[in-house]
Amino acid sequence: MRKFGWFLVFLLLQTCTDPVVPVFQPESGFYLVEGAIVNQRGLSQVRVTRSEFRDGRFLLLTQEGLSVASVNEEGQEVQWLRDSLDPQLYLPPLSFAAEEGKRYFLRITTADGLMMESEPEEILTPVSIDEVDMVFEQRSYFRSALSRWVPAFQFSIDFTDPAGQENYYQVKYRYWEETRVCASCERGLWRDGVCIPDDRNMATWDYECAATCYGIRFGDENAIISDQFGDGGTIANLPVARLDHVRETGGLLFEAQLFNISRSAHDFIRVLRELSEDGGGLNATIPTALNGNLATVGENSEVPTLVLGYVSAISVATKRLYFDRRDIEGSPLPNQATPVEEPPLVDCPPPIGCPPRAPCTESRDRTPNPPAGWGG
Amino acid sequence: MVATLSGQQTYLLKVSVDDAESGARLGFANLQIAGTTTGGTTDDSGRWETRLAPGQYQVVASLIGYASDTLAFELTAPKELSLHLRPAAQTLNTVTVTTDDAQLRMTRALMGVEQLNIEEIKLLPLALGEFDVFKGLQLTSGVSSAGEASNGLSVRGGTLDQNLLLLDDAPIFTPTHLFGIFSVFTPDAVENINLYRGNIPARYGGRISSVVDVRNRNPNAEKFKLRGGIGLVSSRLAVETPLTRDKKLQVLAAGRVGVNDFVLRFSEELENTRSRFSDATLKLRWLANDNNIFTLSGFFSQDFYQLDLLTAFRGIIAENNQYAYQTLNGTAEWLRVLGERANLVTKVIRADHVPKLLFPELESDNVIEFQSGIRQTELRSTLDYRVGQHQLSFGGQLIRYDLKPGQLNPGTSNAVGFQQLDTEQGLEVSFYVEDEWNIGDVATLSAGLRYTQFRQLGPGTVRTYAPGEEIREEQLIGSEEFGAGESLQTYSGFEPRLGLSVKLTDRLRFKAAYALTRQYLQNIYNSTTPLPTSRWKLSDKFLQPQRAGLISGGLYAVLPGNGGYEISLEGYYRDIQNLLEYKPGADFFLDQSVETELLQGQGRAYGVELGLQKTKGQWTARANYTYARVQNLVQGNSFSTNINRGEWYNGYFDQPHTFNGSLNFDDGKNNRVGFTLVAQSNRPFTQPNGVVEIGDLVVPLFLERNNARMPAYHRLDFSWTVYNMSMRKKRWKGEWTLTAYNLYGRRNAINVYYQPRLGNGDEEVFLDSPLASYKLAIFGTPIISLSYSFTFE
Repeated sequence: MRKFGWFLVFLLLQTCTDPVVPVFQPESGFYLVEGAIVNQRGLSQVRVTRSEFRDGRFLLLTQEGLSVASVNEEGQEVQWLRDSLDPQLYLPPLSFAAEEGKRYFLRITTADGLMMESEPEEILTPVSIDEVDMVFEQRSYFRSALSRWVPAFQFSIDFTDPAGQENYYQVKYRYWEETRVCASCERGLWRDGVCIPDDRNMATWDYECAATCYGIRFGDENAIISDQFGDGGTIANLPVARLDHVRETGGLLFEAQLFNISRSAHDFIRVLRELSEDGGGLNATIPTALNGNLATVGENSEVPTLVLGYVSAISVATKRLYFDRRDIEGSPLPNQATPVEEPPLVDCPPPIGCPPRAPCTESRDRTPNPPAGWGG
Repeated sequence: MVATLSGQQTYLLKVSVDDAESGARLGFANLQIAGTTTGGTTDDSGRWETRLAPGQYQVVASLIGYASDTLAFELTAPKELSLHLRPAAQTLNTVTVTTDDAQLRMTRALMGVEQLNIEEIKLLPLALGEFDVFKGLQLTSGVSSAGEASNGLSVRGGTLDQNLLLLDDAPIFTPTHLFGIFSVFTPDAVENINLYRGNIPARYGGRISSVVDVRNRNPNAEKFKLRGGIGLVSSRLAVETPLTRDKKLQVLAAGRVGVNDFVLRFSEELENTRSRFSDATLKLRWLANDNNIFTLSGFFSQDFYQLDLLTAFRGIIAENNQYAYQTLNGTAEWLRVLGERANLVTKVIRADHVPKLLFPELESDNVIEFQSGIRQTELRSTLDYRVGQHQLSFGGQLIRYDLKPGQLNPGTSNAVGFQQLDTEQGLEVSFYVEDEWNIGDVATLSAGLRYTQFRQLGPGTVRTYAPGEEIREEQLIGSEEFGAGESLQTYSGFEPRLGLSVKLTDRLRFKAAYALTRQYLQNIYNSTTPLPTSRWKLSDKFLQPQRAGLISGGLYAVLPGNGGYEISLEGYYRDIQNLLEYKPGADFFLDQSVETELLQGQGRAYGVELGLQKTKGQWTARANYTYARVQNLVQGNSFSTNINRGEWYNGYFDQPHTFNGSLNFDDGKNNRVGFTLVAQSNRPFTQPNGVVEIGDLVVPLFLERNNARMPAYHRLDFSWTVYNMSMRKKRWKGEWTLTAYNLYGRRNAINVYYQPRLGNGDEEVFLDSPLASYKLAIFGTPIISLSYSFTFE
């Protein structure tokens, strides 16, 4: 709504936007807690950090000795453990999936005994997606940086809002497409699974996958919608994603994710979006604190420790759509970057040898296994 | 020579009466030859004549809105006299650069009153060549805006909705076109603008910061008169003519149209963007007889803009956003002359503002419409009475407010249903008395008292929240329904207004003033400035009326010599109770319980204003320097309600230093040249207290408000008008005006904001910051405009 201000920016053709040095007034000593308790295994997580200002830099630091647990309405407590790769991240046991209809909250206790809790939220019934649609537009949107219209795929979903209750939704997505590059090294060579510094490489070299590999991209744009003004109606053509058309060929498997969230979680995400996207323009939103649903418990202090962030209870439904780009009537965006492979030395003398191919290791970003729904 | 019946010789006496400031002839002024029964009223061209026997006489001229004037003369032959009436203190001006009324400004008891007339504003170099009342007002002390594009004015640090904007007595709720680029007032209809920012007369109420009283011209043409112009953005036309042979019924019709679509089509990026606006004024004046004048004034304004932006908003999926808003106001006035000393003015006023948001549904012909509205209906009657050295006024005012906070009409949409927020109604009853008393040559006292009572009326719902807890949805414990006409909440109180002017020497006066004001109607918005679609809200159980007490004092001096130099020094302090603030993330769209999003606190504003002007000669000039601060204090028990840790923080329009200067030259033949310089501290903005990454979003972290200030604002403008080009008096007169706005192309910041970095651009500026920061400016280059205006009569 507030983007109208940009309208004037274009309209007047007399505006100018100058980059300026970002200046902060760092504040230390508050906790930032951000996460979700989800009804599907493997999706619950929470990130806990504490702000500090060191050497002129604002930092969100890992906290040692934290105890993190989810608690349901029956008082059952499940202890969450710190992730082995990311020390700020805490995960419940793999078997954990929150139960629909039950209320949950998160309890965090610091090493010095400070206790923080989120407000309890109910795991709502997931709302299924009826349809995922894709529309290709050769002139989808105008990108000022390129001074041209960009061809893109517009994805949208239809779903039926359950009547008789207020529902608030968050929409995310992910998609898979075959990827040729399974490793990249900046100013170095990729050998034996690691990048080795090398003076020959002044930029970045890419390494082809050893086998078929599917890259996974995530869209976490925090699109939100509610049925505040249309309870029980059909939500049709809800935009989920816009992906630029950059390749002539190749399949693409798109997964739309519909999260059923609480009203206050919806409002929190709205504020997040406003802070991230709506600060500009002539009529900017007044900056707002990320005040969510957490607070300290039983703290004896005149100035309570500030706990920012949100821990929401979420149920999720997904639906996928596959298509091949060769079936699209239109041309991709020209002049796209292509992989730059390491140029082999003549006869590949040791110890450098020939540029190797990289394995497609299962991870959050790629998989060697065709995802369900690949190929239609 | 003509003899009377008695045979005594008489001579013809011709008297003309005009406005001492504008020179405009004044019709229907009362004239009385003192000590005789001879008297009469000027005709509509300000003339009156009679025959008198030779002798010594005094003629007394009086007219509502003007101070009476007496002129002694000796009649020994046919004679012509001119009387120049000064506008009465509480209704008209103190300061114009075009008139020689320094002495009047010295003696007036009112402080903080400014008047600009239309000719003065036309001298100003304007953005895009458009006439703009607001740009003129911003050259007076203590007046600023939220930037180049601001839907209103800030007066002495107040918020935009704390000003009562009146056009021929009817309130204007959205005073700008193009979301704030220039004001809506029809250029060829406006005559003058009065700004009351200090001692607000008791007849005005309802806002705590100022009153901006814009007056359209009364039609007063001898013959058909046509005027108009063509500019870069809009074109305008006005007709003024008598409608009857006796010229007692006259009309003024003026309009302006801006259709920019054809320009936008040249831009590939804006080909689906639309922009149109128009405004029109109609004024009818019927001089029924010597004692009754009826005036009907109407104003219409509309805007339409389309932004090509795919939108998913609260269940609405739209292919673009359209903004359409319009104002339709009307004022009917009856002026009844009750003899020489008294006049009764009765007015019926109606103001109607209807903003709409339109959402054309994707893949459908359906348009979802969000509409809100505010209607104000008013009856006001004022009796002005002159006795001795007193100019007395008594009056009453009855205002009915009808607010439609929001209605969603889905059309054939399945995604959203019909929604309507409860309407709001209010009744404000006020009585006032004013007296301007000239205490000999030594002092002038302006005293007023206003009593006001506001009642929030049903139908409506009063919600109850858990006592002692923050007002949140979760704390709602009950509600009570009220029927139509029932009183939900009542507020009332007296509002004293005082002004004193004391003569220290012939050239030096001391002035002091006090004013207490209340505000029952506010614009609620959580952004830099309100949008035309921003919601209006009446005071209720939770939102108490904002109240301000303003005390000011100063010195006024006319410097020796004939240069017309004047100097003024004024200081003020304003204390605000129940100041309006917003909780973090407040959102008022179709929100039934906005009290959960609002906060109230205290405010304070103080400053010193120094003014210098030269009013005589071919060269005229004025310069103002203002030091002004405005700060807020909002305390609560939680992070959401305890803004900036419960400590005083800078208000949204805290701009400590302001300098305005203008220099004009008129050769009196056909060239008029002017320069205007504005330099001021810019508005506060909020620098982040950190940055966090949540999901894919990189988010600036704000824990406080208004903790930094944007770079200083300064701008030099230039205008050159060539008039009377043929050097002969012709029926068709044209003039060309060349303006250069922002002559040296200063990129004044209107916003400094932070956003996630996109790509690797500007690395040398952003360094390793996860956020980019930008300064947004509009009109960042010199804007050269050429416009042509004409008059045909």
